[in-house]
Amino acid sequence: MTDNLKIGAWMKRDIVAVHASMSVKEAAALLVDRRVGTLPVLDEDGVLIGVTTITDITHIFLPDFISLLADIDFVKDFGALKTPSKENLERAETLTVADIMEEPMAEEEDCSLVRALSVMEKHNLADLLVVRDRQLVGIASRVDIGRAFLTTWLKAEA
Amino acid sequence: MTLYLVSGFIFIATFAAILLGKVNRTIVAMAGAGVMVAVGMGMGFYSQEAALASIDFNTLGLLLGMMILVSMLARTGFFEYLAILTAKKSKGSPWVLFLLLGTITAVLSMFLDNVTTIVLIAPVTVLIAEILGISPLPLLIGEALLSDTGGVATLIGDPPNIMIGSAAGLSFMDFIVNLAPIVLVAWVVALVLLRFLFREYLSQTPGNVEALMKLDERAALHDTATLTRTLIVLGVTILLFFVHNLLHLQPGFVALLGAAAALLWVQPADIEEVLKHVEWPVLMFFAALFVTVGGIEASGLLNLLADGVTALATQDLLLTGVALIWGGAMISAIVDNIPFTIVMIPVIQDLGLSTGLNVTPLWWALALGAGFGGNGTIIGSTANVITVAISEKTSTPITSRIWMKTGLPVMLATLLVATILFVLGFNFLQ
Repeated sequence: MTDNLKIGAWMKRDIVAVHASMSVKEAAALLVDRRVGTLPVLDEDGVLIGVTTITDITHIFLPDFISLLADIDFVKDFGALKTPSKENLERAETLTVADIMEEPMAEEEDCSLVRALSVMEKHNLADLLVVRDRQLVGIASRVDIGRAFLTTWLKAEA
Repeated sequence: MTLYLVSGFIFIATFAAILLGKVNRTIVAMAGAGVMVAVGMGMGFYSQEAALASIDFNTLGLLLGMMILVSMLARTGFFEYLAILTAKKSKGSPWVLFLLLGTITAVLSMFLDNVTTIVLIAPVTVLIAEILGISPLPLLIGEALLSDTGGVATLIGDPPNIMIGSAAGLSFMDFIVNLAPIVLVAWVVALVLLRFLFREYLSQTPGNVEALMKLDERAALHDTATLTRTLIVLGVTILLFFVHNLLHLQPGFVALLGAAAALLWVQPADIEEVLKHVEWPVLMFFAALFVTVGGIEASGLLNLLADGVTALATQDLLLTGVALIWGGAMISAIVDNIPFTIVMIPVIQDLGLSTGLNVTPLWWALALGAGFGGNGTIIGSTANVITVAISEKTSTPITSRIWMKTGLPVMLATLLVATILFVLGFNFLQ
């Protein structure tokens, strides 16, 4: 397998990462300013210990009943919940990244594109983290991997 | 003597492990049943055949049949539809909302499985409270308490009643005639008490009533063809329950017949999905408990217990009944009303056989105690457990403290009503 078919060749090396002690509010500001969707969480030595995403953080603001109901098509007007509730906003202020981060899903640089895409599909990931000796070295989005696929496909045609 | 000790020890250990709750109760009960049969065979007091015979298949059949029917109904969005329709009738008044949601939950659980009813109605309740901007907590507690209470009124309303009816040969109409009037009074008393306990909450004026009125109940319905057919079959099944005794049909058979008819008429494409929603752990739990209790019955231990009660019963049956109501309620509140009911059934049967007394009033006392006792604590009934679990996913979880201030008074009040009416109507309840 040539390097072109490995994730290392297509990942971004410019990474926006955070520490677990950072407040969720600061993390949110980082997501907005740097226009990323996934924030890897690193310890002091740069070891990947967690991950959080824009989806995880926005979840804090969803009404309680969303997680309880299978279907909400019949709710046309959210009434008192048109805007995030006061309780949810207050809670968001007090949270740190450590409170909401999840177990990271990561691959090595020599992971094949097919495996990378499959892992993202199965774990419903927007971005895949890439590590070398547990140190974070890159990040690849679905678009990155999709572009890698399409590029190699088009080249093979030509 | 050794047999009593050994079988008694296995039973108490099983019961204690269920009470501790460290291991899932179904797993505990199955392990207890396995040990009871193995030890019983080794010591010669119990056999595999006797263990099988101790399982009340009429009870399990009734539960299974109704669970299948409810599972089919649940998938059509009927419960959500009903909850929204009911809530809209309140026009946003918290008291009317409380009254109507409590009533619809109670009426549904008189005929359908409490657990499914709560699982489907409680989330819609949270939704309605949240869009109105009020706390869902009183509504949820009200639904659990009122449905537990309402369930005592019918043969199929709660599992203890199913077991009592099956063992004592009491019919659906027997339950309606003897228990429903008592339950109705207890239910009204519970409602008045809850109105008082939640008085501050229930006098709020919520905003966003227009958002409630915009909920589209029709959009909650998924499959109207299945809904119509299932409702028709369910209606006929419930009608059959009213006359099952006249037709010499066992309630378990009626329920399974209903399930078969509904399945045949609807022919769901994914039968696995329908059956997946049957509460298999509950059925396994009951079956395993029957086997475990069958062991202490076979060893003669339950006879000993019955002899102990005989002295009191022959002297004063009324007092025995009152003691059964309160004692049963205490045990049901602290542990679980199912093990208690399964143990008491052979004890009362024995009592009737050995003394020739008419023990019918004791069956009603057992049903009232086991049923109302469930209101006392969070773990007293499955409906309570589920309501609390759902509330924990909201910003206002129901705590033991809150339950002590609401569920416990309701339990005591309903027990008091049950006791007074039991004493007054004692001659009628024979």
